[in-house]
Amino acid sequence: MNVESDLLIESMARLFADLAPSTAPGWEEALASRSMQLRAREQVSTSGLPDLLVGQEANGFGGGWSDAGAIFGLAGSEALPYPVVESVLANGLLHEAGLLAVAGTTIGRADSSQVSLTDSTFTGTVKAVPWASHCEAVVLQVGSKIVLLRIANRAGVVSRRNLAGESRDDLIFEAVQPIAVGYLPEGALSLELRGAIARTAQIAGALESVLSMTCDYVRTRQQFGRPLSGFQAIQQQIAVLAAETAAVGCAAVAVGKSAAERRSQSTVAFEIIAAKLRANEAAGIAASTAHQIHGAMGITSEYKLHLFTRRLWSWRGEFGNDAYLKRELTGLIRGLGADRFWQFLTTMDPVDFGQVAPN
Amino acid sequence: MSPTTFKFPLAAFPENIAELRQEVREFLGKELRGVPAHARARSWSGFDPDFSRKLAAKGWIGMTWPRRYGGHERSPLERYAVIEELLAAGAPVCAHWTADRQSGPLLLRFGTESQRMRSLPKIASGEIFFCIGMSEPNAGSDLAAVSTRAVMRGGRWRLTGTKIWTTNANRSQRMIVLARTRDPGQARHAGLSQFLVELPSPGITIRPITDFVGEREFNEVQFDDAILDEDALIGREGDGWKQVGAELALERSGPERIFSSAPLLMELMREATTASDSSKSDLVAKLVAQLWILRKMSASVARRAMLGENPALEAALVKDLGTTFEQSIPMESHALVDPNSELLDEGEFERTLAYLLPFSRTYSIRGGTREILRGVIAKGLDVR
Repeated sequence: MNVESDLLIESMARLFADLAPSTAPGWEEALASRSMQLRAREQVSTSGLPDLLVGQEANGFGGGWSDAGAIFGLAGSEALPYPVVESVLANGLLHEAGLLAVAGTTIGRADSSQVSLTDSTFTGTVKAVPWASHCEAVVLQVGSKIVLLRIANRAGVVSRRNLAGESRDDLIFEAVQPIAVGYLPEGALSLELRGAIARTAQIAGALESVLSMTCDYVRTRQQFGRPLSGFQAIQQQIAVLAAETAAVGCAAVAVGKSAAERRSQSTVAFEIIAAKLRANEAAGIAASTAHQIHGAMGITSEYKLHLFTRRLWSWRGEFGNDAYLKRELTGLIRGLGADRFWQFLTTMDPVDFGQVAPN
Repeated sequence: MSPTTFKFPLAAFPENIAELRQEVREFLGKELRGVPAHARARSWSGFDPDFSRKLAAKGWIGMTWPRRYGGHERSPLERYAVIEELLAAGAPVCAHWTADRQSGPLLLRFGTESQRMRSLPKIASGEIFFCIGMSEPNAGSDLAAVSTRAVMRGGRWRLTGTKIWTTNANRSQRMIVLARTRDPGQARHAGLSQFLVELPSPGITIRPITDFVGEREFNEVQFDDAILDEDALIGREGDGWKQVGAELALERSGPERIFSSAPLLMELMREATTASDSSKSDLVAKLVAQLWILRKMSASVARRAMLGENPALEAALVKDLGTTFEQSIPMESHALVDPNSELLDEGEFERTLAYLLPFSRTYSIRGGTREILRGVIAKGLDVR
């Protein structure tokens, strides 16, 4: 990453630290408070972050997926109770489809069997839209079309929440006229894969925080006259947590690079799906391990561990649960045939064309 | 914000890598034609001197070493790709493996010019093989407890003691022995030294130990006042612990900690693409996602080592994750076998499983047990 990226990431780290509530009960308040949500949107919007993936020719930041992955990771490491990640995904997708963004836009996964889009109207139910009740508009992908819809009173909003208390609302549209409809260019990443990149990075960030909290805890908590960190049983569990954190951290970076370079459609899809599947696995293992190490402290509402573990469990199911990802991955492998798999896997390795062999 | 704790910068391979991999694949396609998966599963435990010599003729042993020692001055990432291809195909690389991976680099780093000249060219041509005498009856994971003694008498080192679980001692021409040259005193790790020992030699008795899958690669090696060459000491007297540490780092995170069960994964994949139910393909998907990221992590550590860094924490993480992965392939495949089949006399999937299910238990023991590695990881995070 270049200097510009480093500066951006530094300033986003400051913004996110500022946005994150200071105590655990602050999260409940932020999730429920309309005014706090609006204030956060204002701050994020002033920073220009929602236009991270919007090209500079359209007054965006012109950032790539590596920048985005790093910033999504930061958002995950702060367990931000605001639709920051979704706003970046929404504006980036709209830009690629040649559409203009509306302030406060989120993204939703439309099930093509549940919706219909005619020339002028959109009808159907879109389930579990992240942060819909705090947003003004939603971007959907229907086939190769990108649809921007206002979340108006007219649209039924059925309020629901994920395990972390973040709003995941069902939206019911009946013959609604979209704000705009565009086409996703050939070869562009689908909304589903964009969401998977984001959740993988967020899981990576949350795992970093969980690992660091857990290490701090075992160094300070004393039992049997010494810190927990001195017990081999605890050290072994810390190593398990560390290994899962390391794997997803590496996966998130790899996927950012793959999406940025986009060498071929099938390899990018493969890498994003594999990364999310691995992140899902790690989320489950790490959440259990961290809670076991923390004992009763970890299930105390005032202690912050659950802010991360409840998000890990939620994100594990969003934009690709295990069952879905395994089907997708198997489909790709079947298409290749077992005998060509190894070659396929190695074609994804980064190659440095400027590198000269030492001889 | 929590800073990223681990450093796994993505490794980019040199631009000739696709051609090199293709060349290895063509070679293996010819050499391994007709070798069934259950034989390929022996992989880096498969001892085949003829195969090693053919590999040497291609220039794929001692790849990164200087030409004056018989090496080929290729980059470590080229070697990495060749190793991956060999292991992914289940090639029998055991004979030259130890010398290529660690004994050769040990001599390059710490050996005398005469030690290098006497050993390295013959390693690179596939003529001599190495084994490593570290473990003893009372020194396994606790390597500092080594009690084999080397004493200098009349200008020659004399060796007395017993090594055990020494892989390939019965079919190697050289052994690197870790022995005590002084009493430990306060620091248990002090007073150890490494020696280059020729096999067979008077005063050295080698007894094979049969393992539970019927192989005889383990040995007990007894030294009864064995007289070593004048130029047998490797590096500095008393620096053995430090030198072994550098050597172990080389063997911790390579592809051999990921691919030991690769032939079974390939068989599972073949079965999964034709099976009607999804249990095998679900397992394949899970394993493939793990493999995908493990390769990147392992290559990243190899690249950092190439740049002269010391990624000890990351190497331990790769070995822990990698060996867990290698072990889960037979473990989880076993759950999907037809209840009416006896593993030993069914198809290739079952026969490969029959070999790997018991054998894979060694993965998390050899080269540092899982418990020791996890201790290293915790210490690296200042959890002690």
